[in-house]
Amino acid sequence: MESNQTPDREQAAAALGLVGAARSDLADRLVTPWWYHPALGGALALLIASFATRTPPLIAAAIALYFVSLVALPRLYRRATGIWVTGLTARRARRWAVALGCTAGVGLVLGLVLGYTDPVRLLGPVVAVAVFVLVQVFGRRFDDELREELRADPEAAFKVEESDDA
Amino acid sequence: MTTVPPTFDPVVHAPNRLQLCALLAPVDDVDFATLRAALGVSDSVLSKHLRVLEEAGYLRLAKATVTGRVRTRASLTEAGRGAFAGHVAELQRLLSVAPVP
Repeated sequence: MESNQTPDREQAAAALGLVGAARSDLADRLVTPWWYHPALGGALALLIASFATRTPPLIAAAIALYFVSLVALPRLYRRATGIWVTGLTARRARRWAVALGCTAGVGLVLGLVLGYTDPVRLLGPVVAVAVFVLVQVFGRRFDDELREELRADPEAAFKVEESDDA
Repeated sequence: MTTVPPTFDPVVHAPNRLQLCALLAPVDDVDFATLRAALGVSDSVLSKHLRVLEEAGYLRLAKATVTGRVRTRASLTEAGRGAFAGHVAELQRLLSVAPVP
């Protein structure tokens, strides 16, 4: 089948079948280890909650743990699955990766502000718990939608949008 | 909206390379052992196809030492993603053409 000639209709169908099979195989392999999202959410929640302690050594330790997790978790994920996916190359599933990133950003800012302004120091930990839960929800939604996207008909997955000037 | 023009690409079209591109396009990178298992080919066959894609500028290989072992990871370049998307678009175009009676 290795040829420089444009394939006919049957060969094109067979080639698209190979693409679909490879994507389906990838979907089967993309199984996020059970500990990944709890560890990511836990490190983030710990950092957010640490601001409420207003204790610099504790906050510094939480920041260090968070950055260690940002380096270690992708390495451990790669070692477990052989694959790394940030979601930026996904289509529909990308929104859940963006939601996860926004949750982390908003959670950190809220945790920092509330940690130093909330007199009872309770709202920061509440935000931390909420962020932990949202990381689990968005992370799993991302996994499910990415697998669904990969198992979809390649024709739909690679649908080419018409340009305005076409 | 970005439009990918349907373009037949002989570098991508070879079955093993088409499958490699299909595996690599939706993710950031995949390691050598996973690609070999997915394609069901030998190390030498996989290396050959990876080299062809790399020489075409469609693929990037990165080596890292993990627990004393060198691991090779492959990822598609922007040019590779574009070539693969254009090739799939061409296959779809060919499929949509009504067969000659």
